Amino acid sequence: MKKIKSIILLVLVLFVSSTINAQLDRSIQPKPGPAPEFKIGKHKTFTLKNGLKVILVENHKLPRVSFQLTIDADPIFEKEIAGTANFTGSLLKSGTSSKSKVEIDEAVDFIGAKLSTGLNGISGLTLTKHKDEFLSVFSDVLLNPSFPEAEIEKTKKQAISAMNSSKTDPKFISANVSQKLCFDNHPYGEIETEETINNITREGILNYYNKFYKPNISYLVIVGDITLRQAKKDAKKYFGAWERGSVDKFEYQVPNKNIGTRVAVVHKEGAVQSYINITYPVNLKVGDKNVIPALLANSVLGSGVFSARLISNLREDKGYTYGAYSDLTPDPLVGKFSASAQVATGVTDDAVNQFLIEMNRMGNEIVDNKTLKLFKTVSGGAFARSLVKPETVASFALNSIKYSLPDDYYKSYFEKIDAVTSEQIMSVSKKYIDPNQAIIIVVGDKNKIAESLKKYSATGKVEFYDAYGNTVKEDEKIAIPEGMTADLVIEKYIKAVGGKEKLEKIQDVTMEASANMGGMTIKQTIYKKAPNKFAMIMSMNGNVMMKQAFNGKRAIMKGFQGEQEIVGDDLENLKVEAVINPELKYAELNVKFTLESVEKVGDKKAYKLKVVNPTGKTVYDYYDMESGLKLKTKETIVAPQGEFSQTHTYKDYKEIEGLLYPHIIKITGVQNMELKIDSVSINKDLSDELF
Amino acid sequence: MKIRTLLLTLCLLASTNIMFAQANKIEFEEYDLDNGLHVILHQDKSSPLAVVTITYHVGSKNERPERTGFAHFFEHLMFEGSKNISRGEYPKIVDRAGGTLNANTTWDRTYFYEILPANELELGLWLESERLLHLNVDSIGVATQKKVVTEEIKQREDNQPYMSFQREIGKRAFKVHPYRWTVLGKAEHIMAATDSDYKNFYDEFYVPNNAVLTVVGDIDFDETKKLIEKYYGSIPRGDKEIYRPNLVEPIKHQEVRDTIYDNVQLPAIFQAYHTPKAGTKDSYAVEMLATLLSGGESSRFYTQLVDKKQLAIQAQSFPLPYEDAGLALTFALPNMGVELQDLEAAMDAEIERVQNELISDKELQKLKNQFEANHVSSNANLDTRAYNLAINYLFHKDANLINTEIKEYLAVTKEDIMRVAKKYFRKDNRVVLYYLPKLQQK
Repeated sequence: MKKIKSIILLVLVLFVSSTINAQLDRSIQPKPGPAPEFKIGKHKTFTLKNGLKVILVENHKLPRVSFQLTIDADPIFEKEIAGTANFTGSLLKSGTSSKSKVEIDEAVDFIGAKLSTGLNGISGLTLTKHKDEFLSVFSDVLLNPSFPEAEIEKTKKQAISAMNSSKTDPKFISANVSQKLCFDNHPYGEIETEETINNITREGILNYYNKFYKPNISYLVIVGDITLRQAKKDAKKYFGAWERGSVDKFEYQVPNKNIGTRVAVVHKEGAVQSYINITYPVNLKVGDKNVIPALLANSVLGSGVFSARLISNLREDKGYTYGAYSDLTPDPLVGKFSASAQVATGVTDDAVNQFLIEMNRMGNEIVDNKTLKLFKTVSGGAFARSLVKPETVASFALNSIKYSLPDDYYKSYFEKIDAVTSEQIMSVSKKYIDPNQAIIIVVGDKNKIAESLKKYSATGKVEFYDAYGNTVKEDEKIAIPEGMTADLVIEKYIKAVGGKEKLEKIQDVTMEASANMGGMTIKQTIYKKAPNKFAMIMSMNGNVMMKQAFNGKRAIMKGFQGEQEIVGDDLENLKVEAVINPELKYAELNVKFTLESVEKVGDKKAYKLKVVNPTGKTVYDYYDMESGLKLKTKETIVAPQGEFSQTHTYKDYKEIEGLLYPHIIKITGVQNMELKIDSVSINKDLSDELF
Repeated sequence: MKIRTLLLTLCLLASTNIMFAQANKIEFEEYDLDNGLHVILHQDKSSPLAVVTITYHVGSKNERPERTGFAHFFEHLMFEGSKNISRGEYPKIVDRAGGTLNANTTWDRTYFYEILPANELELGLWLESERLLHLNVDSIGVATQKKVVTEEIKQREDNQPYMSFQREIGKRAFKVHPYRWTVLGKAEHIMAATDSDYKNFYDEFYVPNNAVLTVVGDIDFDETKKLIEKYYGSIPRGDKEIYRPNLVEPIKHQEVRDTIYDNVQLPAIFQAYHTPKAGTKDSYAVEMLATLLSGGESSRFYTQLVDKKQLAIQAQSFPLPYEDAGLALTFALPNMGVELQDLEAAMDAEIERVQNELISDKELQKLKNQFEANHVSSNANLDTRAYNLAINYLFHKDANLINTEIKEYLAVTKEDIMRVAKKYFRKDNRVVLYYLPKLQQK
């Protein structure tokens, strides 16, 4: 040790003296030394008797080892139970024949390991010294999952809540619609909805597990601090008992190439931004000779570096967006091109235009050598950096086997990048970056964008979809029948629910409702008493969570934050809303209402009435043209993140003492829940103290 | 030039094949240049990459109260160009070399890095020397970055649910220490910054004697030292006194409690307990305690609050050990319909359990195992090794903590965990914030 120290000291001293006199011209950018060779690490493979193929990348730098098991089943059509395969994977960890979820979690955490399960299988990481404990849990969840009913229900609820919270998220909507439109009549086009998740059963999960979780279609990738000998021993010990079985194969036709640009709009009321996604399926298989030039072409168009064309045009030059990117994804079945950006609503038209210009440019204009060289370096650099990780080496080995790639496919990656010519970039661009095949999906306010987007559609038409990619008929303009007025709509409504005479006799109403929120039942009781007293109590498990009371003059809200007085506009609005049937007294209450149009609510035609309180608060009420009943109320809430609409839909009208009351009220928008009306009682002589 | 410590052992000279898993010890060499720049070198030849990082010992705590956010803003300016690199070129030079770069700022330091093919090592050293020696920022650059940073503040703190907690907790937890403002600071302070502010800040903090340079990867030590001397040796030492706040936050004896109405859909609870600064014995115990509460699905918060009682959909405890002081943050999102008080009571009950009952031997062993596994993974990548070496030297003057710090965690006892729970997780030593949807504000 000492000796080394002194040698190095000496060496350093020599350097100091030699460099101190050197003249340094800092304006000269240093030249690189000879380019290093980036080598791909070695891997080994072996196969167990049951057919499980094992890939090992040995790396003893760190005392840890990772295991990744992939079930390479063909995708299947799941239809009304879409999500079952996904659930099967994620629930593996929720119980086995000998362990509960709690015990599994404890066993994994105790050794400081990580273990996750999902659609494609299981992956995890452990310190070498805990490898055996880890593998016994790993193989237990793979071989003996019990899929407890209670855990399935819990997961369903979580999945549905997560879905509900994303319903207004443009990214979520765009992904759904693009999946459905790109992969028509292909398993890739199936999407999970609340309905399909509710249809998932334990039986379906077991069925999927028994059919597809077989070693002979699976791969085990082991990376890290383990020898080949030990890996073979462990694979046999922990996965050897897994029984082979025949697994059905499924083949699908590549979805038809789209010919002629389509424009699809998903309406998002009052959206301040448009989410543009220009996408289409491409027939680009993993390992295809075009993959490398095509990915390079895409990187010129839309990679994350500032020199890429989309970002320099849409962001740096025009300032339309924070980011604009494109992706080209090869796939063993069918690949995809996608270019996207979130842009201000007002520039949607030109942003789409700029996307198309840049896409067209790729196929029509030769990329100059300097640009080509820059992007070759950017792509090569990213590839080189990825090689540091043994996991990358393993994933290359896995791909090579899965997709039967030539032995030197990854080894010659740099040479292949280097060999790409400008002409090739142009020819692959013509094939894979082609606006004529594109489906332009825009999530935004249709009233502000749809008309201007028509010109990009080959048919001159815009298609409309909902958040799950179902066709929405373009609203045909329905004329307001001659002679119809707002007063008549209200008159018809009053008649429909029971008539003025009966309504005016109501002195008080008590309405009890319940809603399920995140698996818990919330009870809500509303009291109204003439002329304008109002109270609302919300409780859970018998505990009052919130109480609101208005005695005609003063309004109080009590919650866990203590008591607060409601004042200002909110108080004024309450004065109107507290009236038992405000529709009877619009004139008296100074509420302005006008007939706006006839619109569809579901499959019913409805009169749309604009109703404005004296404070200026505006809501839209929709009255069924046929029955006269109120179908829906919509209001817009302005929040700093943007505008949101909140809708109440009234369903299941039932008669109570000669009057019709809706028994299901569905609330969507900022909050999503379904209120079930359990009882309505009239004239119970409510005490004033309630208010 | 002098050699501070030498950790070069025979082991490194021997073939790497026999360097087995036992300890995964990180070997490195470190020294100071005459101008005070501290250099740390670490060799790893497994891939021909070189990582160049430079860490400046300046963060938001070194700012003046009327110029908050300045350290982070200055980090942006560092990409603008230098005497020999024109505006906008800095990241493109790295692109053209097939590398990548970035930077980030915290309360206590500002960190810059380039990851390059090993043959571009000299380029990386030149790039960083350019902005250390003669940064050049023109008025267009300043104006652009003022806008960019203002947008960044909106995006990261104002327009993202709950993220204003950093600001809201900070100003209530600290009354004296500059940790009372956030790293991003106030937009109006950034807008008000003047040319002399940049010049003074640069001259005071961006000097070799306030920086640590680490170079790791497939490098030759002798060659690297030569290049470092070439580009950094003649950079003059800073001649200003470097401002380091020596303000001590007085011990709290009263709980601070408030409600924040924010653009959120679900309410939330944030609690922040004052804890000791990074690198102290008690700080290690506090980190273990946080893992006991929320590290993994078998942790106490998860099993009790999320799974069993279903009071929360998420409950986390995370320690923030800064250089001068620490905070232990706990955070929970209630399940629909759960009152925040009930959730808070359940969180408090879990803390009280740690205060009143020693954790079991098995739990302690689990914590040790978790920390050991984290320790191994935290040094897995070249760039994180470069970072850990720099930070350990910068804050504790001991780069070798990268190897030895795990011992400090493993030395924590059950009694230590109970003791720190009692000593710091006191109600009168905390800030509690209830986050409520803005629509509920009357």
